[in-house]
Amino acid sequence: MFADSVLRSPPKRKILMLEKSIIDEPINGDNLYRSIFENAIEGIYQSTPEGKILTANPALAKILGYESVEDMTSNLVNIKTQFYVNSSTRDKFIRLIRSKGLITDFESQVRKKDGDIIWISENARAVKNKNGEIIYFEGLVQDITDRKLAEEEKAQLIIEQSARAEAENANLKLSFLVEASKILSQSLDYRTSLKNLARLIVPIIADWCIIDLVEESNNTSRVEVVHIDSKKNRLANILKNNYPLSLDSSQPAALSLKLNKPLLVSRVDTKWLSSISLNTKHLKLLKALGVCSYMAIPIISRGHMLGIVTFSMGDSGRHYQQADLILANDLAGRVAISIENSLLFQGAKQEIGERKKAEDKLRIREKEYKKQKNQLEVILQNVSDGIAVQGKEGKLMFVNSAAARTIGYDHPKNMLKESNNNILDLFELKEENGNPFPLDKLPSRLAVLGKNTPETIIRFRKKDTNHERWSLVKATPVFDDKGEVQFVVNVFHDVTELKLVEKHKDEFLAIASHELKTPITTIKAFTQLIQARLIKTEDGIVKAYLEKVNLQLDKLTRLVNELLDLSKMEKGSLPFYRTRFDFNKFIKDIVGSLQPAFKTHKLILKGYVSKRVYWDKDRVSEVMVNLITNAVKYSPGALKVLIKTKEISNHMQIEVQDFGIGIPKEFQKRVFDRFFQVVKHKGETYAGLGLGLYISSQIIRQHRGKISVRSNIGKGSSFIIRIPIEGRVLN
Amino acid sequence: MKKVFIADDDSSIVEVIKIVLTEGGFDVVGETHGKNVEESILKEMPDLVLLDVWMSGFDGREITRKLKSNPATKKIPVLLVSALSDTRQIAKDTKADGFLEKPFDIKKLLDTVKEFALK
Repeated sequence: MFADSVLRSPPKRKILMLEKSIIDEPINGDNLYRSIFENAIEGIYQSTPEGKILTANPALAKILGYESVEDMTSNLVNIKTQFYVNSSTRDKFIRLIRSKGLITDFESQVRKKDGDIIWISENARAVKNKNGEIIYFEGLVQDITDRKLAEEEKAQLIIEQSARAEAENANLKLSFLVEASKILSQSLDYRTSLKNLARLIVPIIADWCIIDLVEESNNTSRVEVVHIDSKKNRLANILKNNYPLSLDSSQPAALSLKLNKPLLVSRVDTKWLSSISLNTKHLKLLKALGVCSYMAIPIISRGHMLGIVTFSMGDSGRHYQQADLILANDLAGRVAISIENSLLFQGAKQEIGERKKAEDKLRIREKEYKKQKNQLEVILQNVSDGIAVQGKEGKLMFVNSAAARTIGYDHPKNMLKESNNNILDLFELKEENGNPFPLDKLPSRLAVLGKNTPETIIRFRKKDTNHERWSLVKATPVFDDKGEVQFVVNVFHDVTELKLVEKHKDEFLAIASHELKTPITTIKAFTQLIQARLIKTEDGIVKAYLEKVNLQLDKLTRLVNELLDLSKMEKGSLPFYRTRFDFNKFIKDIVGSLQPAFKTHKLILKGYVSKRVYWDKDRVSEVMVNLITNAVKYSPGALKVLIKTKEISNHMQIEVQDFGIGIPKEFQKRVFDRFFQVVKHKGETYAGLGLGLYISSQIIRQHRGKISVRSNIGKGSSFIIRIPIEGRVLN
Repeated sequence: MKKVFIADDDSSIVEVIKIVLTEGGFDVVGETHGKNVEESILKEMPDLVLLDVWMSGFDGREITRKLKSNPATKKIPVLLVSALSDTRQIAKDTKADGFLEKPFDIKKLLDTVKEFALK
């Protein structure tokens, strides 16, 4: 404001004039103007552009705190440095006034004499000479400190108020989030929580809002639509029920969810609303609900779309800003965590439920198992066969009544106390034929080693009572899942009675055959005596008849012997008597002695082996007679039977070949079975007991030999036996 | 003439053996009562004894053992004649000299008797 030009003393009659017309030049000597100058409330001055005060009125001195104008002009010599608080203010002043010629309402802070700082407002003009050069500045100064302070205070107040509002807003947001968190944590059923949350969102941050959830099937379900105006709840329900969110649609919420991008439309216009509505009805509904601002915030957790919250402002006219989006996002984050927790909890709950169900099932099954076990135990206890279960160490785990009784215990419990070996010690064990039973062949011991055992007959003689029983023993190993023997189940089937019956049968057969053979002996002898006598009479017919009687007697004798042999064979007690004899003579004798009996067939012996064999001569002879007789019997109409012998690697092979009916393939394996007979047509069988080949095969087997058959239907059969020359007889 | 003693509880057997052996040139003494067998043998002192094994009143095995343990009779050959299938084993067990299974051919009977009686 003040020019730097120096004015040594204030010009007494000079009045600073605001009106342009009267301030063209300094005023001198006019009393009126002088009085105004002297008494004005505003400060008036003239100053040089260099910053010296030329003249000033008392009001200015007073404003600036000087005792008088003189006091001021003598002390205040450099406006730029002494007066303005900020010296650059003076430069600005000069710049403005030079460019425009005047300056109005130029506000600045200045120093008073005592150093206090006040606010002033200046209105000034540059006074120029006829050449247009600035001679001095003249201006008015007003103390505006009070106004400025008031303004500052006001400004401060406004700042404070906005800060407070902001704080309140933040507080509100915080308390909203706190409340939201509270709601979300209140129920583990997140649907319920979300319904409650919708009622918090409206009215605080929306006039109405929609919450949609994404289901597992990727469909959505509308959890809630809440409107601030309860009168519009019916409309909200229509929106809830009739306009579900389709993820495949281009509805803003669907896009926002799929892109995982919150959407903010601060100002919604009709055009936008039309673009998002599905049809006119929908648009009408949206308009009725009111949408002036819109936000869609997806609820996403770990990359999974869980749902979306749609916020709308309507009747309240509020508009969403970026800050609202941030808040809504924060809320959506909390919702996502809450849903995730709920799902985890539900998963855990379900798992617990399932575990409980499984446990219940297990308990029921256990009960069932116990029941079954009890039933099974009752059954096992009462079966007539002895059952003993032993662990792999030999300790008895279960014994039923029959087993205990057999062993001589009154109750299975008492038997369980004993070790298996102690129990075994009570008995003498024998094989079927009476030989001691080797303990390492005991079925239970084999089973413990994991071996499956055949059913074995053991004779148990109780040492103290001498009581003997026969048992059919079967031991079965039971394996665990590692394939190791867990326990062994022994089943004892008492066959003592059976053996007694067998014994009686054997005795009967022995007696029967003995008794039958006695009359046969006599008949045979007398027949032969008659034959001898008839040699002299030469009655051919009678001789032939007697020959037939003799042959039939031989047959009868064979049949009786077969019955007896069978029974002995079954017991393994058929005795064998080996002798060394010449094979060739042996076979020749058999053929020679049989030939007279067969008038129709020529027995042709082929092969010559001069070797001594070590066999049961009578038994092998029995086999040969059987095979040759069969060959003749089953080749009616044929003329010969071939008996071929040869030696093959320490074995003697004898083949009896016929040219008869042959044996069907399906019967070839069975011809060595007991009681097997070839069936002629119409179910008729050939005469005989069906024992011959069975007994023959047993005899050959006893010699460690082999018997086999080759046959073609209609062409004939070959029975081949092969016996080691040193026929070691099996026991 | 060699004397052959036959013991069998079946009289028809005794009869037919008697015929065969008599025709074969032997002096034959027969006995069908078991309890008399031992006594008769001691009285007759035959050259050969044909003994049934299993007859009512006596056991051929027992008699064989006795004959074989009696110095007076132990040299008399004993043949067991039986319809039992294990006649051979019994003969072996009782130390009889031989055996003949029933039924037999009369030729075999005569041959066997000759074999032992004419030794």
